[in-house]
Amino acid sequence: MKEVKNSCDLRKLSRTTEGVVGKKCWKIAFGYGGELHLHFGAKLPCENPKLSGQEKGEWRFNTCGTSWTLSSPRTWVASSSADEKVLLTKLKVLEDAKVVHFEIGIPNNIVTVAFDNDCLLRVIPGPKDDEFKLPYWELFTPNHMIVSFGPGRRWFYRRSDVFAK
Amino acid sequence: MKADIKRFNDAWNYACRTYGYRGMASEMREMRFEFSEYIHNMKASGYMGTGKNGDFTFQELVNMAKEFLEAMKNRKNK
Repeated sequence: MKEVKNSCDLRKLSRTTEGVVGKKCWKIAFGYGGELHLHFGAKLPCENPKLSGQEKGEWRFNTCGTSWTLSSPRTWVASSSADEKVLLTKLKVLEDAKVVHFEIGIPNNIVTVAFDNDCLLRVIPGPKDDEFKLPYWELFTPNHMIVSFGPGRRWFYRRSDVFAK
Repeated sequence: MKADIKRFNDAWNYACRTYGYRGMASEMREMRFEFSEYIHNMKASGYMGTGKNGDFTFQELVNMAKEFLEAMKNRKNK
């Protein structure tokens, strides 16, 4: 577990996420507890037989239940407080949109994902998020690696698929 | 939301530890991600738990996590 204490640390963290820039979002889904999942890049088959026939992105962003907003210069699009059925419709605006910027804000810990259709997704941690000792967000990257950020400015980059013998 | 996710994670980690994945739960993020979408889709398709508002109890989540892990283990053993 590392911690972002200065701009050098932030650069190290940013290097682990920069590969998502240029990738197209092709699947928007929810996980348990209102996690928003965005799938980007190459389509890979899900590994568990219970999800046979389904696909996942080589890059996957998970809000981990942290509050988020989606806006465009012209209009407010959606926020995590809305009903999921409504959100799925509104979030379609991200389908086929490419990531043009992935920025981690310090000291507010807000992550901003900018898309080529001018939409901005912001994941906004609040003080209450720290009570549960869960990450603010995570990003699955190619070759079975994961970047996890939060709570606080703690983060790690490690394998995501290690299986017990 | 975070409270639900914490309970979900605890159930997942408990299932990993109990059914032969000791010490690996935190590294099993990839499978946990798939399990999270799987459970969400089950709820969305009308499958109800016996907890408050039809939510899954901790034990129900553990049992489903066990089945999910077993399915993966069986695939790997083939």
